[in-house]
Amino acid sequence: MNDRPVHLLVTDDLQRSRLTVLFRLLFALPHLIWLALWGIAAFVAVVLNWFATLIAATSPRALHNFLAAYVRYAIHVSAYLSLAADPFPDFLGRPGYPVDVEIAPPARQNRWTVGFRIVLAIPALLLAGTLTTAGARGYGANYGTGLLGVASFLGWFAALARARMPRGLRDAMAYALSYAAQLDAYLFLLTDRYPNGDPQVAIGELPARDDPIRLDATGAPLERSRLTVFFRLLLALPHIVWLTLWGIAAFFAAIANWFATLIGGRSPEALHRFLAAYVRYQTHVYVYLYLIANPFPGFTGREGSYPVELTIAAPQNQNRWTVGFRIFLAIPALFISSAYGGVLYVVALLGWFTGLFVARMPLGLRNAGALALRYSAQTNGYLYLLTDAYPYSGPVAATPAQAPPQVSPSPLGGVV
Amino acid sequence: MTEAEAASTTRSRAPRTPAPRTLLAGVAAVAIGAGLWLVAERLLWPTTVPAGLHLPRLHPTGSFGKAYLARSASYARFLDVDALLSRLALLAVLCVYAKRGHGLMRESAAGPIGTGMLLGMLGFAIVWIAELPFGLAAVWWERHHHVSHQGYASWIFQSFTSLGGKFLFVSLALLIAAGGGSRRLPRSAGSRCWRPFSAST
Repeated sequence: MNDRPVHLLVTDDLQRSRLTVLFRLLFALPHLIWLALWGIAAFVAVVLNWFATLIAATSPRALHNFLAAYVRYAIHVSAYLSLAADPFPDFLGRPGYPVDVEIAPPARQNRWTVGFRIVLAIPALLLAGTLTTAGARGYGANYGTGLLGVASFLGWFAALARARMPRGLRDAMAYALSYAAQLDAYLFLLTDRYPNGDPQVAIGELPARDDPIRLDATGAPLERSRLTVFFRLLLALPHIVWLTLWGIAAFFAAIANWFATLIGGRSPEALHRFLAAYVRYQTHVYVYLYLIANPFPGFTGREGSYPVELTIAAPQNQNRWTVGFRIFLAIPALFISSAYGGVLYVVALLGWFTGLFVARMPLGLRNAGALALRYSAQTNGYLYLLTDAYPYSGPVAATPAQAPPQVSPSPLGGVV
Repeated sequence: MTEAEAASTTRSRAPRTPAPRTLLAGVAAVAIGAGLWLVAERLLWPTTVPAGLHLPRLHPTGSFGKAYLARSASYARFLDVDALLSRLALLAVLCVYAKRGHGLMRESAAGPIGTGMLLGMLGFAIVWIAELPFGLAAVWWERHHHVSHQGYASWIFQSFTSLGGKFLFVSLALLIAAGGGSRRLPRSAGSRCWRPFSAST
């Protein structure tokens, strides 16, 4: 049995043609019309497939192949439209496109899950709504204001300027498309494997990066305490109050840091340490609030004090031009961060129910949340001038955090 | 290391004891407070009913009727029993929490004070859960007698949000209570720090 019956194959080389990028929406129009027509036939086929699979427990091969081709074609069109791939796709959904879907042949399915498939798919639909846009998915094309929509909007400018799509944006889009493909296949009864939101397995090989701000969630246990899960929002209240107060100080520290870095070309040690502790603490609080980890965090943002660890490198020399215009340069990252924020809300909502029922957080949800929080922390670190490395929007290979550097003791002595 | 340095190090590591002057001031403050209390009590005690005060005579049965009073007594009895059962459940839950609450320490990655806050909040949370059915029973009874028109969901939501206020209060209280003394806590007290925190709930 295939371990992943539906998975995305990405062979895109990141090169983009400026001309087709500029007119991408117009070029995609014939495909969108054809996709809508094919979608009507696919809807009828899905209904037939539902009855057939409910009776025989296996999807008939002809229907399976027809719907698999439709899902493949929808992903090709979405990839083309969102600039995750460059070549003009063919109209039959044949395999071989740079962003392609591989769907396993029909296999036996549980009749109960077939019967209640639409209800069971609701949580996956919620997550897909933040990764893509649920409203546009009825016609097969996955685009809109979710992560995919924001990444393709920003990617349009980047590809037009550099004739190349940044890998982070492409991978973020591929992650969203991978989930959309899995959801389509699940909804269309091509498989009974529930869509997996884990970015670590969504798009094949991931880059191993050595970013100055890294989040490591690999060592955090997935077990959850039902009691603290149920009251999580209320339990986080003292942290939210403290985070708000600390945030006021961090705001002024960031302004001071901006002037200091603009003059000295490097963030002063004390300000860097203060702001790094704030960003780390903020991440700890969000990790706790959004159920990415279970333990109640400390109040000092001390490095090495929490199972989901944010590692922030020591101050480095920074380009004064990027320091001067940092707030403007951070705008695209803030857009992406906002899109990931939507993902995080849904992860927390689904994780809350799952944690209450099975006292455990699914690995896929945990990793999706960790990706969103890593991006948020990188964006904050970039804004507060802790680094001039631009946030990386795609998933990265999980690497355990290195030993934390020597830090000065917390002023509160680690008692809180 | 010289003897003087060694003595100085020993002094700095030994737990601090209050200075005699501070102790004296504390005792004096308590004595003055107690004296004021006694004076106030002495003045308030010989209270007399003013002459010529005629209290109206009230006959409940005459005003309300026997059936109405019986229904009122039944109404109050249910609430009394409900409150009594609620207290018993609360005591049982608190006993269990006092006995097994330390197990929840593993849910914390914070230091002693942060862990204390968590245990304090969880204490309130457990109390809330224990009292929830009885609170709902009281709401049902009041609705049944048209005393209240509040919906169940509304009551739960209101009670849940007020729990958030209690969480903040207990966190702040524990921070003030434990924060001042945290530097005086011996290292070995760390493993037992949950006891005063759970007791405080």
